[in-house]
Amino acid sequence: MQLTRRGILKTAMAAPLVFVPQVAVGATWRRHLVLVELNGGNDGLNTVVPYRDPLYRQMRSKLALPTDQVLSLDERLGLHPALERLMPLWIDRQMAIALGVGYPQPNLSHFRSIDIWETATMTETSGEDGWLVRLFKESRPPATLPAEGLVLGRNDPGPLAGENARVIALKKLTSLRKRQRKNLKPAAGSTNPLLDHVVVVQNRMDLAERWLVEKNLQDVSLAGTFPPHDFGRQMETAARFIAGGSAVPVIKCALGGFDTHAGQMGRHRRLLTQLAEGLSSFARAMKGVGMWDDVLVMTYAEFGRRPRENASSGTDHGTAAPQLILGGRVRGGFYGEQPPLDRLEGQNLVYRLDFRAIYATVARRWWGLDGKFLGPRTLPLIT
Amino acid sequence: MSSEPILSLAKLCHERKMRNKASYPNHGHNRSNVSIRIISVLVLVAWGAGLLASMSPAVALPIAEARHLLARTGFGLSRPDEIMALAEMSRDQAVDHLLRGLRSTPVTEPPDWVGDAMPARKVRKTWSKARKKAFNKTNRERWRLLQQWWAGEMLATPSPLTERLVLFWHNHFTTSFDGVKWIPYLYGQNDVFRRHAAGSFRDLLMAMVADPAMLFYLDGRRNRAKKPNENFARELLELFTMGEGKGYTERDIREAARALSGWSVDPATSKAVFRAKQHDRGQKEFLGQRGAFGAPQVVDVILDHDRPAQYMAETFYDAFIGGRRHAPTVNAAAKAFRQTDYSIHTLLRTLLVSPAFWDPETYGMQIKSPVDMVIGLARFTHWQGTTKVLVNRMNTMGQRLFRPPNVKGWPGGATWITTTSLASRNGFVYAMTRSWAAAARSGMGGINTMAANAVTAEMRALVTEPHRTPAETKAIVLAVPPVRDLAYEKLSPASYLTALFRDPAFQMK
Repeated sequence: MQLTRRGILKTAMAAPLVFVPQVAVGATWRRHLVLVELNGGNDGLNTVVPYRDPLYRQMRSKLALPTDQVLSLDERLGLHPALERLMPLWIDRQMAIALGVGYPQPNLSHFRSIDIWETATMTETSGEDGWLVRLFKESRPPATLPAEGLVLGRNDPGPLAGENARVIALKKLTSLRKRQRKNLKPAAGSTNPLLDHVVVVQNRMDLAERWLVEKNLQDVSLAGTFPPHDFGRQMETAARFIAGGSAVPVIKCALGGFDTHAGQMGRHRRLLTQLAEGLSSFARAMKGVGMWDDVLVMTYAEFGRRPRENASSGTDHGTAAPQLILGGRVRGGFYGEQPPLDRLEGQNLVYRLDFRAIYATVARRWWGLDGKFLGPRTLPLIT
Repeated sequence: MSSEPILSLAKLCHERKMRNKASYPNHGHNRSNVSIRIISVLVLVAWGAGLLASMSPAVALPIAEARHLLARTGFGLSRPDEIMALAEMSRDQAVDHLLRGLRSTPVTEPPDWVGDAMPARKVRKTWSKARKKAFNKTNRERWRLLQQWWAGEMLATPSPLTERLVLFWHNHFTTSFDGVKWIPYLYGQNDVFRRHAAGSFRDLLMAMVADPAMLFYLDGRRNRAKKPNENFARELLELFTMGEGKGYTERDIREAARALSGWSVDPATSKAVFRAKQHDRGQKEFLGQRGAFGAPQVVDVILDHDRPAQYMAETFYDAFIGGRRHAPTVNAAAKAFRQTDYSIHTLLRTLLVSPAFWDPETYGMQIKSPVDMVIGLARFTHWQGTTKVLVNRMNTMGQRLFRPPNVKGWPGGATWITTTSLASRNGFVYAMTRSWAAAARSGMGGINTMAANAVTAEMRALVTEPHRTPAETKAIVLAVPPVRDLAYEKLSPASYLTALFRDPAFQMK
């Protein structure tokens, strides 16, 4: 509970600088989870690189990163050089790297596998709610919040998809407009779920707009600048929401293009550069408003990629991969284990850490929720 | 509905008359005469009821039914003249009328570069940085031009169903500018979709195996005997024919990839080419069959399986009927599809004439796609502006033609509606209906643009024709009753019409 009090104190201190809080929100819901989906399946072995492993070089004659370019994390593992901007956070122990994250009986379909990640459900039941929606069933973020989730990239609510989830998707802050309109009532006894959906979104939009327009998020001042690419803009919008006190518990961003079946080297470098630029700018902005302790940033992807490169200088769909977790309260370092390259199953890595343990950690140690469906295991990721 | 019942009716009447005449002097006493009369009335009633029952699809197609058929086989909204053109037809006749109108070629001229061959890799390698940059810029520009061309075709076509099917196939056998930089390949695939739109699924599938856009998009051209690339093989089973995880294994994917190896794109001709040297000639075991399979056998073995007919029937059902699937209808369509060796025409017709399709419960059970929103309204208003404007609107609503989000295509349904996309949909409807309101204020025709005049004429037809009631107007514009409380009596005809278009119910088809 001490942590929570500290959270309130920080927010209270930061708040007068930017806005006057209008609604009292429970302290836990002042904590934000920022999800970054690496859409397409990120190549884990070229993100956190087993640069000393001869098998790595043997399996990747074209794609192996030269030892002298890898940013050494310890005697076995190093970061892709494009992630250099994240090194200060690693050194300050504000970045954790979960290794070999996956799940049993991996599915190599983009769509099925991302469903598994986003619903935390293994069994084939299409239409399962996102894991955050399931988690929030336990304790709903207060209705006074404009939304439970904000989707900034890719227009796909992912873990926030669910029947009653209050999610808003935004392209630009400027798309918010001042409008006054009465709430619509869905037709009584309606049997048209899609029409009901339209009405709900219309109402949510009107409500969120009324709420957010009052916040003047565009005028929130942030430390430093953000990179001019789409992912950079998403992270900037996320920072404005949080710094502006909009108290949306979950913000989902996305960086796409990781499905590198061919010509991986240049594309992967560009993507990781964008990732590092966006994340480091975000961290700086959050520190600038004293809210770095109130955010937890987590990357995820549907799967990693196959250890052995293919004939097209690319990599095919794989399994386990590392996940980055960043924030002021993160206890930096490695979690899980690097899956060995000499023990593959069907040419793929065998996972060492179930992703649900990370979700359970977020549920219990970040928000103080239970999330029983996520299993018993948690990690000491968060101080 | 043979003519026989009518003949027998005439005979019956005639006989009755004769008997009546004959029995007139002592009528009321003649028991046999009374019983004959009762029998003839009973026969007449029974026959009449039978006639009504069997004829009911043959009577004029109500506005709501015509609107439904056209909305689902076109772009979600149709003009009154299109709806009235079906008024004299039965349901089956209307369906067959639309199917007869199918085209295999576009009515508009494609851009003149669609036949260009891609500069060979060897040539591209010699280019300067600036030249490469210019090449990329041209490709981006051509992608936009191709989007505009297709939007123009959707506007101009006399057969919206043709383009609806081409869009269906684009969303099924997805390819994207994100993997296919040479835009003539994207056009080529679009052309194949039109030629096979309602033809043989077997032929279409085979055409996709050797389609340049597809060979680029899913890396088939890189799939070689020595190092197979299984990207295409996986989606061929998962998304194109069987459905995720249904009836095949990871091993089947690998074996299919081997069998499909060797197909590539010949830069000299821009056509698919089979390079025997790159093909894995070994034995394969695929979906329970063994052989030294190549690409044609992969298609054959897949189509020997029960899944594809079922999967495609489900996919078509979702696209054209929607809502909860009615299993017997799906199964009947799958059976007909299989029995006709995968005739898409049969599959589509079976679904369109099914009671599930015509059930009023399915009205408005689908959300219009951005293409529906934009093209529907543009066709309705005889759009005279540029197609560039229209394409930009579709793009911001979340449907970039020739650039779907991933190989699975646009997920559609509820995902079309987010706070972002709904804002831009509303914005479009407001923009398109603003001129009507203005025209109405200035006494019809006050706006000096062709579009506004056309719109105004359409609007006048919709709300001021003496025989047209507000209820009919509503039935033409909306699939379901408006969500907002629209009191016709309190609004001017123009405001009423505008309100119908701006209601959340307008999002549905």
